[in-house]
Amino acid sequence: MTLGLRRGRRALNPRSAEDVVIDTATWLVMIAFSVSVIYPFYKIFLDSISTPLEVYRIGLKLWPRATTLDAYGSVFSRNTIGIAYLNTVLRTVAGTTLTLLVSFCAAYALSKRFLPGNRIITLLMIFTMFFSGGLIATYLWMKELGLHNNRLALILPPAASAYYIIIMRNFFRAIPPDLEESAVMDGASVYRILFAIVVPVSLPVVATIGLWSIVFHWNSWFDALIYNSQPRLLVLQLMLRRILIENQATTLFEMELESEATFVEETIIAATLFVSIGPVILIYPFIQRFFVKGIMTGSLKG
Amino acid sequence: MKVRTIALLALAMLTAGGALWAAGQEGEAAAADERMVITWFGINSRGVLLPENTVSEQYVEERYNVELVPWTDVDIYQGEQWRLKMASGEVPDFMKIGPRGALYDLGVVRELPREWFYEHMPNYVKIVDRIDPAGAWNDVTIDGRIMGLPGVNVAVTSGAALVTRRDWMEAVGVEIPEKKMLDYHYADDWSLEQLEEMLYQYRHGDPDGNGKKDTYGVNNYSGGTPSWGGAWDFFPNEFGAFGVRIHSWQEQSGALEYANVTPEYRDALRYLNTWYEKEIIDPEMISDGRKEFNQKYTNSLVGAFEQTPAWTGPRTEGPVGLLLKANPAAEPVYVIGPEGPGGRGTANRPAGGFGSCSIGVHASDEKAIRIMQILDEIQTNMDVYHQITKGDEGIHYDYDADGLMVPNPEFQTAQGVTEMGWMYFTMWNVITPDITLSRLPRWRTIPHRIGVETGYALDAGFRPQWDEEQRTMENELRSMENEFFWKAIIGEVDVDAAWDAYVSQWKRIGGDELTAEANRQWQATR
Repeated sequence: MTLGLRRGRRALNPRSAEDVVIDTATWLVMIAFSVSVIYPFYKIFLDSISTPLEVYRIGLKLWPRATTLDAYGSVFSRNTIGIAYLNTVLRTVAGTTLTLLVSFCAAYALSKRFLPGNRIITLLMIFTMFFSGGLIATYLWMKELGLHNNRLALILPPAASAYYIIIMRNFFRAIPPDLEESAVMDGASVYRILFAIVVPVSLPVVATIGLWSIVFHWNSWFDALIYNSQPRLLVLQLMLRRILIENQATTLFEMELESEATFVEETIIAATLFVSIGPVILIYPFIQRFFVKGIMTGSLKG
Repeated sequence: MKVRTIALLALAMLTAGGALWAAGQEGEAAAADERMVITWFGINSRGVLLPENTVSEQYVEERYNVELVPWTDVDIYQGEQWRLKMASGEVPDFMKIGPRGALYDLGVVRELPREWFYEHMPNYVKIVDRIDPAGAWNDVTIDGRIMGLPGVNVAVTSGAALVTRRDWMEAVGVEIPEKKMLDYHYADDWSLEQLEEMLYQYRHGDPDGNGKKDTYGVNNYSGGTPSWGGAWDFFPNEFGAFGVRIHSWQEQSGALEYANVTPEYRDALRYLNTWYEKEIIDPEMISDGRKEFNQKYTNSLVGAFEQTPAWTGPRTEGPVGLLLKANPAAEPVYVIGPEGPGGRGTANRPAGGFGSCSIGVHASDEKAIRIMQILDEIQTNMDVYHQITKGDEGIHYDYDADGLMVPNPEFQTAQGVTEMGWMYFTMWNVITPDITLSRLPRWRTIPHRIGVETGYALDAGFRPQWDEEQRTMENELRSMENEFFWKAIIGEVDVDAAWDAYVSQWKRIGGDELTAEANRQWQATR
């Protein structure tokens, strides 16, 4: 009753003084929050198009003053970033595709309670979430398989993730069985059911796992560091790590050498950062609408 | 039948025996021809892997009749990479990494009897023992055993100078010193009062002429934590004027004493507090890191700083180089060793213990000895050393009019250096001071030479090696020392009133124990 009256009042007078105050406060808080999130990125962008001296100018920087694209020129003139980009894109595309394929197939099979050994397979998978073989054992195993200095070293190990499979399996179990049963009655084959019925209704969870996998592959560097030492196999995050972290510690280790210690200018660091984070920032808004739906559906049902 | 069988057996045994003997002879002949294989893990440029068969590798192989197998798939800068490789059982025979820490913990280094050094590395060890025997040997001695090849680095022993700027000196009426080092002025005959007066004017005399009191005399940035390694960061010349090199163990009447609990240290703190009260010291120095400092220096908010020589040279990307870019009139001027109550002095880095190397646990005695013999010559024969670190004179480098080595820029890229294998098949640094200084880049050799030629560098003292528990204790002591350091400088504690309590607390929470251990180690190396 009360609710109905309020709705009625709003219909007549959509914005009361109270609404205006609350809306304004909300807007202000949200704008402040957005600025606090966006400004650091903007600051990196400004640094990337500034002269080295401008970077060291003291004060709040809202717009570019002494601008130059030298830093981007320097970043793109190095072969490294091209190679690193290519390798990262390759591992992301191939790795995500493989992860989705493996997870989807495994999860779909495991979602069927009549699958023989379903319980034991699931338990074994869950076991790997808590206990792993350890770094050295994995390293030796990868070496035995001939995967050192090989792009597959970055794609095969993360292809099957127990966590992804369980999330997907739970999602499939939440699909009403009637859907598949009606297809069976209409004479559809297993594959037809899979591709014509299950896949279309599973897009949210596919997008979610896909996004996780993309972010995982895009951000990964440790596997590339230990398995792939060849510069031709360098990935973006490893390159960034070198520039950002190692540069900070320019280090007695290096300084004691009788050479010019490598010292990367702030502008180049900023340009490299911007170039490397750009794609993720661009892709995220388009996928994030699937994100909440996929994860909620997959995680709540047991 | 029986006789025939026995005869056949005898013949067979003779044939087999003969064949085996012959094979043995061949094997020995082959072994005599075979070159000893040495796996080698040296230093590459960051992110560039060493290719196979570099010019330097071939040179060393031919000269010493060995076959080198360098680790071409590992970047020495990526600790995870090589630690994992070693942990999985692969250990090179030679490692350009000291044994202390990761290598010893992994159990991948072998012990080397002391007499081997005098027998197989006599020339090298002679120089080590002349420069910093205690520091160098102590660094490779773990649990009483020598586990590596001692290293010394004379390039770092030059004392740290304070660097200021010509335009501000002129603006506040300070006379530019006459002495020059490679075109840059430096003063080595100032008094502490003279230095103070200049820095005071930087704060109160409006050196930038903007009519505002917005500049400070000095900011020795370092993220606020003076560490033993950073003795040069924290007023090395000012402490030096009181005869103190902070965070060092110095001999005092036949025993080691820790610098930060000496009366001279207390007097220096009291003096620096007067600088703070006079607003000479930038108060944000406590928290400033390198980036913040660079920002202030290039914006002309600070007039002087002290740092390790590698950072005070007019290097393009460093603070001095950046300031010069913004303002060419701000030509750097160096001040070193101003005289104070304790004489003249400044801090440096200890030579010994830097650049130790190791020999792998699987290397046989014979192989370990061969490596030592090879390195003995490489490190002390400058023709060989130049050849495998800089290439050929006239092609890869030349000497300028000042006698400085000028590398051909074409080969001086990270890629170029590693592709030639330069620096890979050596120990860390050449150990003859004059040659070291001639090999440094010009920007860097300026402050180094000032530091070396003035000779004000204080003895770096003895460097004890701590076990895990002692290291924790030292960290606790260091926190306490740092707190007292800053509180004394900013005047939060009265140095004289709080001194006794500070010293007794220091002793109580581990200082006494570490002093005893430091003395024990020191006596052992003597």
